[in-house]
Amino acid sequence: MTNRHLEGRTALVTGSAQGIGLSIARALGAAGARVAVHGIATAEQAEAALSEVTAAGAPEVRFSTPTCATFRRSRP
Amino acid sequence: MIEAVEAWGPLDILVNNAGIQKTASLAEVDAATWDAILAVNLSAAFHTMRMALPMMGGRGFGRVVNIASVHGLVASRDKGPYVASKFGLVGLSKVAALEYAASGSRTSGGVTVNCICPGWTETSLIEPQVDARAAATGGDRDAGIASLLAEKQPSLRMSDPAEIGELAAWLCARAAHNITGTAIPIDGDGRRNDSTLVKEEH
Repeated sequence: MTNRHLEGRTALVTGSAQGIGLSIARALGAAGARVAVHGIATAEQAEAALSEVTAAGAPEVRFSTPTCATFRRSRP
Repeated sequence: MIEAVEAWGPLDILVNNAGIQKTASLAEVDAATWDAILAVNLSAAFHTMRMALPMMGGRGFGRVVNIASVHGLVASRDKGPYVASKFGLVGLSKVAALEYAASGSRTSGGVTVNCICPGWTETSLIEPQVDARAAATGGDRDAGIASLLAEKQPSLRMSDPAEIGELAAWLCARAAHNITGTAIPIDGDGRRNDSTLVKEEH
Protein backbone atom coordinates (compact mmCIF):
# COMPACT_ATOMS: atom_id res chain seq x y z
CA MET A 1 0.00 0.00 0.00
CA THR A 2 2.25 2.82 -1.19
CA ASN A 3 -0.29 5.19 -2.78
CA ARG A 4 -0.26 7.96 -0.16
CA HIS A 5 -2.61 10.26 -2.03
CA LEU A 6 -4.22 11.61 1.15
CA GLU A 7 -1.02 12.79 2.83
CA GLY A 8 -1.59 16.11 4.56
CA ARG A 9 -5.35 15.49 4.88
CA THR A 10 -7.32 15.08 8.10
CA ALA A 11 -10.33 12.79 8.26
CA LEU A 12 -13.10 12.08 10.77
CA VAL A 13 -14.90 8.73 10.58
CA THR A 14 -17.92 8.28 12.84
CA GLY A 15 -18.77 4.86 14.20
CA SER A 16 -15.23 3.68 13.48
CA ALA A 17 -14.41 1.58 16.55
CA GLN A 18 -15.40 -1.51 14.54
CA GLY A 19 -16.92 -2.80 11.31
CA ILE A 20 -17.14 -0.71 8.16
CA GLY A 21 -16.09 2.46 9.97
CA LEU A 22 -12.85 0.95 11.25
CA SER A 23 -12.08 -0.42 7.80
CA ILE A 24 -12.62 3.03 6.30
CA ALA A 25 -10.38 4.59 8.94
CA ARG A 26 -7.67 2.05 8.07
CA ALA A 27 -8.02 2.72 4.35
CA LEU A 28 -7.74 6.47 4.84
CA GLY A 29 -4.74 5.98 7.12
CA ALA A 30 -3.10 3.73 4.54
CA ALA A 31 -3.50 6.57 2.05
CA GLY A 32 -1.65 8.89 4.44
CA ALA A 33 -4.45 10.79 6.17
CA ARG A 34 -4.49 11.76 9.84
CA VAL A 35 -7.58 10.02 11.17
CA ALA A 36 -9.99 10.95 13.95
CA VAL A 37 -11.74 7.74 14.99
CA HIS A 38 -15.01 8.19 16.84
CA GLY A 39 -17.47 5.77 18.36
CA ILE A 40 -18.83 3.92 21.33
CA ALA A 41 -15.95 1.89 22.76
CA THR A 42 -14.19 0.88 25.93
CA ALA A 43 -10.66 2.11 26.54
CA GLU A 44 -9.38 -1.29 25.36
CA GLN A 45 -11.40 -1.13 22.15
CA ALA A 46 -10.20 2.43 21.56
CA GLU A 47 -6.57 1.36 21.99
CA ALA A 48 -7.12 -1.51 19.57
CA ALA A 49 -8.64 0.80 16.97
CA LEU A 50 -5.80 3.30 17.40
CA SER A 51 -3.26 0.52 16.90
CA GLU A 52 -4.97 -0.80 13.79
CA VAL A 53 -5.30 2.57 12.10
CA THR A 54 -1.71 3.48 12.97
CA ALA A 55 -0.45 0.12 11.72
CA ALA A 56 -2.36 0.72 8.47
CA GLY A 57 -0.24 3.82 7.92
CA ALA A 58 -1.92 6.85 9.48
CA PRO A 59 0.72 9.38 10.59
CA GLU A 60 -1.47 10.42 13.50
CA VAL A 61 -4.72 9.21 15.01
CA ARG A 62 -7.05 10.31 17.77
CA PHE A 63 -10.05 8.53 19.25
CA SER A 64 -13.09 10.16 20.82
CA THR A 65 -16.32 8.72 22.13
CA PRO A 66 -19.77 10.25 22.42
CA THR A 67 -19.04 10.69 26.12
CA CYS A 68 -16.13 12.89 25.04
CA ALA A 69 -13.24 10.76 26.30
CA THR A 70 -10.27 11.26 23.97
CA PHE A 71 -7.25 9.07 23.28
CA ARG A 72 -4.37 10.00 21.02
CA ARG A 73 -1.38 8.41 19.32
CA SER A 74 1.21 9.63 16.87
CA ARG A 75 3.80 7.81 14.86
CA PRO A 76 7.23 8.20 16.53
CA MET B 1 -16.83 16.63 17.86
CA ILE B 2 -16.66 18.57 14.59
CA GLU B 3 -15.11 21.58 16.31
CA ALA B 4 -12.52 19.40 18.04
CA VAL B 5 -11.46 17.70 14.82
CA GLU B 6 -11.43 21.03 12.94
CA ALA B 7 -9.03 22.39 15.56
CA TRP B 8 -6.88 19.24 15.25
CA GLY B 9 -7.23 19.18 11.47
CA PRO B 10 -8.53 21.15 9.58
CA LEU B 11 -11.30 18.74 8.67
CA ASP B 12 -10.86 17.73 5.04
CA ILE B 13 -12.69 14.40 4.99
CA LEU B 14 -15.91 13.57 6.85
CA VAL B 15 -17.21 10.01 6.80
CA ASN B 16 -20.65 9.63 8.37
CA ASN B 17 -20.62 5.91 8.99
CA ALA B 18 -22.23 5.43 12.42
CA GLY B 19 -25.44 3.47 12.03
CA ILE B 20 -27.76 1.19 13.97
CA GLN B 21 -30.39 -1.35 12.97
CA LYS B 22 -33.34 -2.96 14.68
CA THR B 23 -35.76 -4.92 12.56
CA ALA B 24 -39.50 -5.07 13.29
CA SER B 25 -42.69 -4.74 11.28
CA LEU B 26 -44.53 -1.43 11.25
CA ALA B 27 -47.16 -3.00 13.48
CA GLU B 28 -44.54 -4.03 16.05
CA VAL B 29 -41.94 -1.25 15.98
CA ASP B 30 -42.12 1.39 18.73
CA ALA B 31 -41.55 5.11 18.73
CA ALA B 32 -38.29 4.83 20.69
CA THR B 33 -36.77 2.62 17.98
CA TRP B 34 -37.87 5.06 15.28
CA ASP B 35 -36.36 7.99 17.16
CA ALA B 36 -33.08 6.22 17.86
CA ILE B 37 -32.53 4.97 14.31
CA LEU B 38 -33.39 8.32 12.75
CA ALA B 39 -31.14 10.12 15.22
CA VAL B 40 -28.03 8.01 14.63
CA ASN B 41 -28.47 7.15 10.95
CA LEU B 42 -29.77 10.47 9.62
CA SER B 43 -29.84 13.38 12.07
CA ALA B 44 -26.23 12.89 13.14
CA ALA B 45 -25.09 13.19 9.52
CA PHE B 46 -27.22 16.30 9.08
CA HIS B 47 -25.50 17.93 12.04
CA THR B 48 -21.94 16.97 11.06
CA MET B 49 -22.46 18.09 7.45
CA ARG B 50 -24.03 21.44 8.25
CA MET B 51 -21.08 22.21 10.54
CA ALA B 52 -18.28 20.84 8.36
CA LEU B 53 -19.35 21.79 4.84
CA PRO B 54 -19.14 25.60 5.20
CA MET B 55 -15.55 25.24 6.41
CA MET B 56 -14.70 22.85 3.57
CA GLY B 57 -16.32 25.26 1.11
CA GLY B 58 -14.28 28.12 2.48
CA ARG B 59 -11.07 26.16 1.90
CA GLY B 60 -12.11 24.91 -1.53
CA PHE B 61 -11.50 21.27 -0.60
CA GLY B 62 -13.71 18.72 1.12
CA ARG B 63 -14.84 15.14 0.85
CA VAL B 64 -17.98 13.90 2.56
CA VAL B 65 -18.62 10.16 2.28
CA ASN B 66 -21.87 8.98 3.84
CA ILE B 67 -22.33 5.29 4.43
CA ALA B 68 -25.95 4.70 3.52
CA SER B 69 -27.08 1.21 2.44
CA VAL B 70 -28.66 -0.67 -0.43
CA HIS B 71 -31.66 0.10 1.78
CA GLY B 72 -31.24 3.74 0.87
CA LEU B 73 -32.23 2.72 -2.67
CA VAL B 74 -34.77 -0.07 -2.20
CA ALA B 75 -36.96 -1.46 0.58
CA SER B 76 -37.27 -4.70 2.53
CA ARG B 77 -39.91 -5.80 5.01
CA ASP B 78 -39.42 -5.09 8.73
CA LYS B 79 -36.96 -2.23 8.11
CA GLY B 80 -39.21 0.83 8.20
CA PRO B 81 -37.09 3.17 10.32
CA TYR B 82 -33.81 1.95 8.81
CA VAL B 83 -34.97 2.35 5.19
CA ALA B 84 -36.46 5.76 5.97
CA SER B 85 -33.18 6.89 7.53
CA LYS B 86 -31.06 5.60 4.64
CA PHE B 87 -33.32 7.03 1.89
CA GLY B 88 -33.18 10.27 3.85
CA LEU B 89 -29.39 10.14 4.01
CA VAL B 90 -29.13 9.61 0.25
CA GLY B 91 -31.47 12.53 -0.40
CA LEU B 92 -29.78 14.86 2.07
CA SER B 93 -26.40 13.99 0.57
CA LYS B 94 -27.65 14.96 -2.91
CA VAL B 95 -28.76 18.35 -1.55
CA ALA B 96 -25.39 18.90 0.09
CA ALA B 97 -23.60 17.90 -3.10
CA LEU B 98 -25.56 20.46 -5.11
CA GLU B 99 -24.97 23.26 -2.61
CA TYR B 100 -21.19 22.71 -2.63
CA ALA B 101 -20.65 21.47 -6.18
CA ALA B 102 -19.07 24.73 -7.35
CA SER B 103 -16.89 25.27 -4.28
CA GLY B 104 -13.18 25.66 -4.83
CA SER B 105 -11.44 25.00 -8.09
CA ARG B 106 -9.75 22.23 -9.99
CA THR B 107 -6.55 23.25 -8.22
CA SER B 108 -7.99 23.22 -4.73
CA GLY B 109 -9.87 19.98 -5.43
CA GLY B 110 -13.49 20.93 -4.87
CA VAL B 111 -16.02 19.70 -2.32
CA THR B 112 -17.89 16.47 -3.04
CA VAL B 113 -20.60 14.60 -1.16
CA ASN B 114 -21.29 10.96 -2.01
CA CYS B 115 -23.04 7.95 -0.49
CA ILE B 116 -21.80 4.41 -0.48
CA CYS B 117 -24.66 1.89 -0.34
CA PRO B 118 -23.42 -1.45 0.96
CA GLY B 119 -25.50 -4.61 0.82
CA TRP B 120 -24.67 -7.60 3.01
CA THR B 121 -21.29 -6.92 4.58
CA GLU B 122 -19.45 -8.95 7.19
CA THR B 123 -19.90 -6.84 10.33
CA SER B 124 -21.56 -7.27 13.70
CA LEU B 125 -24.51 -5.07 12.68
CA ILE B 126 -26.05 -7.93 10.67
CA GLU B 127 -25.57 -10.65 13.31
CA PRO B 128 -29.11 -10.44 14.75
CA GLN B 129 -30.52 -10.92 11.26
CA VAL B 130 -28.14 -13.82 10.55
CA ASP B 131 -29.15 -15.47 13.83
CA ALA B 132 -32.84 -14.95 13.12
CA ARG B 133 -32.58 -16.43 9.64
CA ALA B 134 -30.50 -19.38 10.86
CA ALA B 135 -33.13 -20.09 13.52
CA ALA B 136 -36.00 -19.72 11.05
CA THR B 137 -34.41 -22.11 8.56
CA GLY B 138 -33.26 -24.54 11.23
CA GLY B 139 -29.71 -24.23 9.98
CA ASP B 140 -26.35 -22.95 11.18
CA ARG B 141 -24.83 -19.50 10.73
CA ASP B 142 -23.57 -20.30 7.21
CA ALA B 143 -27.05 -21.38 6.22
CA GLY B 144 -28.48 -18.15 7.62
CA ILE B 145 -25.99 -16.08 5.64
CA ALA B 146 -26.63 -18.06 2.45
CA SER B 147 -30.37 -17.49 2.85
CA LEU B 148 -29.94 -13.74 3.28
CA LEU B 149 -27.62 -13.57 0.24
CA ALA B 150 -30.00 -15.59 -1.91
CA GLU B 151 -32.74 -13.09 -1.15
CA LYS B 152 -30.98 -9.83 -1.91
CA GLN B 153 -27.37 -10.22 -3.14
CA PRO B 154 -27.22 -11.94 -6.53
CA SER B 155 -23.43 -12.24 -6.38
CA LEU B 156 -24.04 -14.62 -3.42
CA ARG B 157 -20.87 -13.19 -1.86
CA MET B 158 -20.65 -11.16 1.33
CA SER B 159 -18.69 -7.94 1.12
CA ASP B 160 -15.59 -7.43 3.25
CA PRO B 161 -15.60 -4.09 5.11
CA ALA B 162 -12.14 -3.39 3.68
CA GLU B 163 -13.76 -3.19 0.23
CA ILE B 164 -16.01 -0.35 1.39
CA GLY B 165 -12.89 1.28 2.83
CA GLU B 166 -11.13 1.21 -0.53
CA LEU B 167 -14.01 2.92 -2.31
CA ALA B 168 -14.22 5.56 0.43
CA ALA B 169 -10.51 6.34 0.08
CA TRP B 170 -10.81 6.52 -3.71
CA LEU B 171 -13.74 9.00 -3.48
CA CYS B 172 -11.48 11.25 -1.39
CA ALA B 173 -8.87 11.49 -4.14
CA ARG B 174 -8.35 14.68 -6.14
CA ALA B 175 -9.19 12.68 -9.27
CA ALA B 176 -12.72 12.20 -7.93
CA HIS B 177 -13.49 15.95 -7.90
CA ASN B 178 -16.36 15.57 -10.37
CA ILE B 179 -17.92 12.57 -8.65
CA THR B 180 -20.56 14.08 -6.40
CA GLY B 181 -24.19 13.56 -5.49
CA THR B 182 -23.89 9.83 -6.16
CA ALA B 183 -25.15 6.79 -4.27
CA ILE B 184 -22.79 3.95 -5.17
CA PRO B 185 -24.03 0.45 -4.39
CA ILE B 186 -21.69 -2.29 -3.17
CA ASP B 187 -24.42 -4.89 -3.21
CA GLY B 188 -23.61 -7.58 -5.75
CA ASP B 189 -26.46 -6.16 -7.89
CA GLY B 190 -29.00 -6.42 -5.08
CA ARG B 191 -31.01 -3.27 -5.69
CA ARG B 192 -34.45 -4.83 -5.79
CA ASN B 193 -37.42 -4.61 -3.46
CA ASP B 194 -38.23 -7.73 -1.45
CA SER B 195 -38.35 -10.73 -3.72
CA THR B 196 -36.92 -14.18 -3.90
CA LEU B 197 -34.16 -13.85 -6.45
CA VAL B 198 -32.98 -17.43 -6.24
CA LYS B 199 -35.56 -20.17 -6.17
CA GLU B 200 -35.15 -22.95 -3.63
CA GLU B 201 -34.33 -25.48 -6.33
CA HIS B 202 -31.47 -23.34 -7.74
